[in-house]
Amino acid sequence: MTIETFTIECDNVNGTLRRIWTIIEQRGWYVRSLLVEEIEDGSITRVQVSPHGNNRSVETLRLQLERLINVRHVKLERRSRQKPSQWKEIPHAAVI
Amino acid sequence: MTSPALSPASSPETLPHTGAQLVIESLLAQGVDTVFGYPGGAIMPVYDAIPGSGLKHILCRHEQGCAFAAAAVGRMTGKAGVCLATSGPGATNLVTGIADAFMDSVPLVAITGQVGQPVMGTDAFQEIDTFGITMPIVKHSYIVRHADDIPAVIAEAFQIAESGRPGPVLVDLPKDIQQAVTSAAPLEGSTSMTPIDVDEDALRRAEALIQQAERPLFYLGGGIVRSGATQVVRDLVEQTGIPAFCTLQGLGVLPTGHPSLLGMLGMHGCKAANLAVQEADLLIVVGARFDDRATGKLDAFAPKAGIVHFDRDASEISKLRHANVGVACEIKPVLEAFRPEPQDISAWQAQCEEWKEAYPARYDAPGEGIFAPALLKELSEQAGDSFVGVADVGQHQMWIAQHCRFSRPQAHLTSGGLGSMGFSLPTALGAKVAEPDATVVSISGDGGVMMNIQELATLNRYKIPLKVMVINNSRLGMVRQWQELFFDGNFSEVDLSDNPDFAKVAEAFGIPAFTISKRDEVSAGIDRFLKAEGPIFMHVVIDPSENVWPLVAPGKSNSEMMEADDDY
Repeated sequence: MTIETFTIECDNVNGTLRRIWTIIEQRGWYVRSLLVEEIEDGSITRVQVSPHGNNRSVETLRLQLERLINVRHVKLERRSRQKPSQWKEIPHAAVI
Repeated sequence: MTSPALSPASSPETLPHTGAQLVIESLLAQGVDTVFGYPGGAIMPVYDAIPGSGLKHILCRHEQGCAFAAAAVGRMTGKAGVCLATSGPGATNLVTGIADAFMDSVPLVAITGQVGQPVMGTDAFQEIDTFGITMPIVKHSYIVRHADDIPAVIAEAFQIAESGRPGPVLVDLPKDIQQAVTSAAPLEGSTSMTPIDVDEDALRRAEALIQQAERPLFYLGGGIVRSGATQVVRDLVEQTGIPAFCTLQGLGVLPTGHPSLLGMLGMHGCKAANLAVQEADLLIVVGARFDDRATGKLDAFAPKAGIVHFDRDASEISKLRHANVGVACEIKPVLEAFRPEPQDISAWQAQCEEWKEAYPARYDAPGEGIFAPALLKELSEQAGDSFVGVADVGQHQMWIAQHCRFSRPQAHLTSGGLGSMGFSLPTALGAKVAEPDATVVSISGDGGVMMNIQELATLNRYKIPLKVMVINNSRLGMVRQWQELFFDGNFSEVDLSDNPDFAKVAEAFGIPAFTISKRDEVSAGIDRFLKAEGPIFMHVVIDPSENVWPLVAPGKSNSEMMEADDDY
């Protein structure tokens, strides 16, 4: 299973995290783990995602996340890991 | 939230005022003159502020109609239309129209009432998570938590809806915010958005690829229309002489009959366009997104072609087809500065012309019955340059795309991405409000018209001189066609032969109506239809077994087109 890790810097605005989660799920990926850190003027989210199927472009997902209004920057941290990190995994049905 | 581009409107005499009044004043400050809405409990303070405000309100008869009509303003003008609805069912009824705007990148501002903040989250009466429900189908959304934020939220909503790749923006207004007293003033102008940096190197590489290409083609999509770049693209096509084809949303970018235009590509596209794309060695894609209805089997699409892709949305570039050169940009200014110089492509131009001549549209269907393609062609030609054809979804939608004459992109409004039945009547209503001098024609099938037929009451109420045509084959025609071709003729739940008499229904709504069913009634019928001064309804009965040709079967390459038998 391919695992991609993004670092997402965004405004600390109502709904931003939910919007990020929605885009990931909507575009054919699922969230394996999620870590959110508040910073002085916003938040940084580290998210690990895996694709449903093999024909998904991670760069396209990066750009789809980056076009969200309150998202400032999305960086693809590392590509194609085979194991998830040790972050606590959030159940698939969890709602943020 | 505000930026220097915003400035307070002249202070209203009514300060302090309520949040609801501030919403109306903020809309007026954004230049909105008309909204489409339907009142209800959680939006009542806003409705209380409308009378005497100077804002015109059009009461549609279903919130879905409000959303489609408001989006039509965006489709026609590029400025966001506005729809208003209450919480709960009012908001959920907007969803189809919002989704349609999202899929077709149409600017729209949807304002919904919400239960008061003290009861949000308690399953209060008509409470629903509008913000969450609409999240996947909006460009952005807000829940307003402080009345003082209303001016900036409304200004930002318009800016987001109209800028970049346009789209719908939702503003959810809790009732207590509408009732709160505030001294905030509405803001004129809009928030500023960061312009996209143009990759000059990519432009030069694109020019080099075009110069090397022996069989280049322009692939023109709806992004051109949303960017206001129609004339720039026309100039570019004419300057280079490169043949072009359009997507469904790109129809009208080049006027019908333009010498460089091969027609629409895709599932029901022109054979000349589909053949040319398979032979091209370079596609210059402008504001298009390689939609599956356009490309057919993606792996087999344009197999010999390199790709130069211009789009405002960087995430569309290389999403489905790798671009050799991708240029994420504001299309209009970049193409104004783009000056490709192709080599001698006269042999390729001649080949494209040969395909056009070899595969013209056919109007020689046998029989006495009305042949819808011929009727639609005649309708658009008689209406002339003022024609705006608003399709619903199904067979007639493809016949309109194939056979009508479009002088500009706004002459063809269609639910391209979402493919939403019920689109035509309320969208046409909104288009006529946005452009009163246009000859706006709503064209539906007998299935689609029933999905928003209540809007005939809106036409009658406001005496909107809209022309409504229903092409009735007593079937869900496109589904029937697919069942005939791909499901062994197992016709399942497509018979609508118990439809009401549509002319009588229209008359019951107060709209003059008539029916035609024979070929020799077409010319006189169109004449009467187009000469009517007020709203009019024309019911056209056609053969239920008629199919749309040509057709690329699902999962097949565009080179494998199914065509009508010689005897139809």
